[in-house]
Amino acid sequence: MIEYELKNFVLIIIISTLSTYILARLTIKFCQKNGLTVIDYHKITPTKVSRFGGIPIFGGIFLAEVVIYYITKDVQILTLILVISTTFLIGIIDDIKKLGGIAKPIMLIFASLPILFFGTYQPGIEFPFFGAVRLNIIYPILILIAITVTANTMNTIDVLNGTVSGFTMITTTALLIALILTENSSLFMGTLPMLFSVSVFYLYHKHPSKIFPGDSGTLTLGAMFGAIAIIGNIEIIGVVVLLPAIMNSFFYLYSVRGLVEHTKLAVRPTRLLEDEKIIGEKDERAPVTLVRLLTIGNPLTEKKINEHILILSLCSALLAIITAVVMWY
Amino acid sequence: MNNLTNVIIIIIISYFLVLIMASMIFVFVVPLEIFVHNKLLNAIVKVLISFILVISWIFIMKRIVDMFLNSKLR
Repeated sequence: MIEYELKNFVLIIIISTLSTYILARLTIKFCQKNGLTVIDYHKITPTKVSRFGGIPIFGGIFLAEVVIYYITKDVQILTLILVISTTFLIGIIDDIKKLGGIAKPIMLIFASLPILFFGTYQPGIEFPFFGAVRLNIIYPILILIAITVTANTMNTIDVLNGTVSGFTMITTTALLIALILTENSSLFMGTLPMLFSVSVFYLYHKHPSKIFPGDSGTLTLGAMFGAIAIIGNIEIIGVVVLLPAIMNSFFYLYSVRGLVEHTKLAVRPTRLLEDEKIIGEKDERAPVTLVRLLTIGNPLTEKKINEHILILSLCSALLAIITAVVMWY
Repeated sequence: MNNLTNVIIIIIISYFLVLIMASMIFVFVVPLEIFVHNKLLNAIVKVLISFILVISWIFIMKRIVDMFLNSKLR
């Protein structure tokens, strides 16, 4: 497994951690000074929170990935760099000038092209008990859809302070364990910056948030997650670990009957009570979301809901690790 | 049972359903060769069966979630 020296791993961790830390502080200061803020509606006294958290997330991951590519010269890492750069650009456009519910997924198809161009995938999926299944024709088409799906799925789980960053920390850990079991050391090294950048970002994103990741941050994390699952041929692990987020977006799409931006909903899934607790909407027209399921008839504080979502992601991560052990150990 | 326990159960059910549906699609449906001389027809049938299986996953999960929501709305 260890093809590279330990000092390389330490260097990658230091670069991703430090650059995310510095960029997060700079972005918060810059956004507060220039009024680039959004209102956090889950507070009784609406507070202004800095936008563009995607910059520290992307910056930390990107810098570390460039160094990893210099060390490994592995095309898998180059693919990751191109996938996250394309997604970050789309996310920044979406942060500045809101893209439509359909335009965003279509644009995200471009982010999957580097994987097809460099051929950094194995045209098949491995299953527990059944082994590998070759999908020579269908697999490239699935790649085009997969990055869009994972990026949007991560975007829909960005519901409360610290949710998406905490969720990504847990899910990435499960991916790293799967990569250890499959003995893909360069991709393991390429996944580390995601874990460390998002862990540092969590310190600023946790309740009460000082910065929001925005679409640039969530889409970048989701696309990177999808790319790692495809390049590492650990797709099933990726699906299992993402289950809480997949269910969240599936039920949302099912209940609103299509790709509708949350700002255009007739009835919101939750309501904020006077004691700053959140309750699931009882109106049947309200979309079904994870937060609504957790709070219907049982109002909870934002911090508590976040804890519950992290417990759910721990459960799915555990299921994913068990699946990985069954498959590769 | 509180909502968290119920949602954990929903996640575990969806995990087993994902494994069963995905295995059925990729292990049994994809290698199917019903029409040996007509590749297009063969592909259409496979896509249709896979689509039905995915829809059934969504339908089953939706029914489970609806049961949970109805119990809370009552």
